[in-house]
Amino acid sequence: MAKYILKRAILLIPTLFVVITLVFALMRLTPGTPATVILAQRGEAISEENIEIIEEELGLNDPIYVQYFDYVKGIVTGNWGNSYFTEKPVFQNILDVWEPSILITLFSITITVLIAIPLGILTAIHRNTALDFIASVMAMISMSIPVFCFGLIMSYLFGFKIKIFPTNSYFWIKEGNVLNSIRHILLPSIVLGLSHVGSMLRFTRSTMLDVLSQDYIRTAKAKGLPRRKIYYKHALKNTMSTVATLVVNSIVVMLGGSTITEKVFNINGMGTLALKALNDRDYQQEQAIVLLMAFIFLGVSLLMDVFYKLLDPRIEYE
Amino acid sequence: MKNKKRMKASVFIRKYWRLIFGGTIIGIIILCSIFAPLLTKCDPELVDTSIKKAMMSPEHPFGTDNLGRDIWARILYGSRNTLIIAIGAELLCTVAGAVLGLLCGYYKKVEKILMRFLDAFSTIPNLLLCMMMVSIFGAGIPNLIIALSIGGIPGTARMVRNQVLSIKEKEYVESEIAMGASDARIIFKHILPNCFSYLIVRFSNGLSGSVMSMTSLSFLGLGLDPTKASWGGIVNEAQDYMFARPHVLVAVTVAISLTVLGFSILGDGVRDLLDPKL
Repeated sequence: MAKYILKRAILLIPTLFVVITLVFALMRLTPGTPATVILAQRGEAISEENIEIIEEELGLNDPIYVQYFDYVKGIVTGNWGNSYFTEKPVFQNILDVWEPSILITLFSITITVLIAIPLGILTAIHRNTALDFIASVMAMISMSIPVFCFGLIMSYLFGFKIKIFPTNSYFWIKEGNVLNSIRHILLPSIVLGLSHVGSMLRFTRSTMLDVLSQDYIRTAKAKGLPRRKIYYKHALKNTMSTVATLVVNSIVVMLGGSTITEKVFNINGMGTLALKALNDRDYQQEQAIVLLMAFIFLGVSLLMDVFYKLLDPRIEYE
Repeated sequence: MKNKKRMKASVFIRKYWRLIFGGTIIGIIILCSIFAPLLTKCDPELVDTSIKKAMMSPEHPFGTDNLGRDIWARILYGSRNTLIIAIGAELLCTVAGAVLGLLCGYYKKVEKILMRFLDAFSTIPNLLLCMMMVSIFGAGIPNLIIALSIGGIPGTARMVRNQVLSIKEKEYVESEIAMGASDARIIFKHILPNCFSYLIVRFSNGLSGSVMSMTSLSFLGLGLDPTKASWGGIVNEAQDYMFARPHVLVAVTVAISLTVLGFSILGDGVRDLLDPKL
C-alpha cells in the first residue's frame, strides 16, 4: 500500500512541475503591467519612466528565465512571494479571505450530496415512475438556471421580499458568534448546492442503473436475495465508489467557481481575491491562488486513488 | 399504406422527442436572434437618459436600464453574441481536441509530452482558467471564442485518444498496416470516421456548458465591451436595480435558461440518434 502511494505521488511530480510552469507562463502572457495600477494607487503620474522604476522595484525587468527560476525556487522553499499591492505575503492574503469560500463550499456540497444521491438512487430503483419523472424535470431545471441568476432571484425572494436571510456580505467567525456567520452563508450555500443537484442526480441515477444491469445483480436476484438487500448492499457500494469521484470534482468546481457566488452575495472571499488580483495584474497573488486550487485538485485526486485502491486492491496505476 | 406511415411518424416522435423538442427551442432562439430587428424597433446600444429606469410600457416591453437602453432589445441582440460565441467555442474545442487526441492516440511519443500538458490544464478550475484566458486574449468575440474553448480541450482530447487507442487495436487497421498503408490513410479513412459520431455527440452536449461559461464571464464583466448587449452583462447591471425592477432579472434568466435547456435537450437527442448504446 505504502509502495502504491509512493509510486502515485512520484508520478505527480512531473504534472506539478508542468502546472507550476503553465501558471507562470499564463500570468506573464497577460498583457498589461501591475506598475500602472500601483502608480494609480499611489496617485503618481503614469509615465514610461515611473512604470520603469516600479517594474525595476518588483523585479519585473529581470530576464524572464531569472524571474522563472526565482519563482520556482520560491515555490519549492515555501516562499510564494508578496502581493504587489498589499505587500503582505500572498498566503496571508489568502488566509484573510478563505473562511467564507471554504464554508460555502463545505455547506453546498453537503446539501448537494444529501439531496442528489438519495434521489438518484431512488429514481434508478423506481425507474419510469412519477418520482423519476418529477426528479428528472427538477434536475433539468437545476442544470439550466445559471447559478448567478438563481442566486439573485433567491436573494430577492428570501432576502428582500421575505426577510429570512441576510443578503449583505459576510460576518467573520472571529467578529462575533459562529451562528451569525453560518446564517450569512446559508443562502449562498443553498443556491450553490441546489445548482449542483441536477448533474449529480443524473450521474448517480445513470451509474446506479448501470450497476443494476450487471450480472452479479441478476445472480443475486436469481438466488432470491431480498430486493432491499440487493439494492442497498450490493448495488449501492459499487455506485458510491463511482459517485465519490464526482463529489470530489464538484468540491473543486465549487471552490473554483466561488468568484461568481461571492459576487452575487457581496462576499469578500477567495474568488473575489482571484478576480481582483487578475484585474490588477498582481502576478504573485494570482499565481498563488491558481496554484493552490491546482494543488488541492491534485491532492484530492491522489486521495481518491488511494481510497479506490483500498476499496479495490486489484487496481493498478498505469 | 397511409396508416403505416403515420405509425412510423409517431414512433419517430416518441423515440426522438428530445431532438425535436430541443431543436424547436434552439430554432426559435436562433430565429429570434437573426430577426431581432423585426422584433424590436429600439437600438440596444442607444443611450437615452431621458427615459432611464422606465417601467414596462408598450414601446419598452421590459422597461429600460439605468442608461435608458431598452432591455427587450438588449436581450434580443444579446442572444446573437451568446450563440455565436458558445457555438464557436464548442466547435473550436471539438476540432482542437480531436486533432490533439488523434496525435496522442496515434503517436506514442507525442502522447507522453502532450498528455502531461493537457493534464496540467485540467487541474486549473474551469472558471479561473477562462478568466485568465480572457485576460490574455483580451475582449472581443473571436478572442472570447478562443478563451472559452481552451477549458474543454483536455477532456475532448482524452476522449478522442481513448477512442483512437481502441480503434487501433481493430483487425481492419492491423490489416491496413500490414498492407503498408500510410499513417494519413489510416487516420483519415478509418480512425476519423469512427470518431465522428462521438465528436458530434460531444459537441452538442458541450453547447449548454459553453453558454453557461459565456454568460458567467460576461456576468463578471469580462470578455465583452460593456456597451455591447450580452446576457451576463444585463444580469450584472440588473443586480444594481433588482429590488426596484426584478422583472428584468426574471426575463434574462428565462432567456439564458431556455437556451441552456434547449441545448442540453438537443444534446441528449443527438446522443439518442447517433449513439444507441448509451
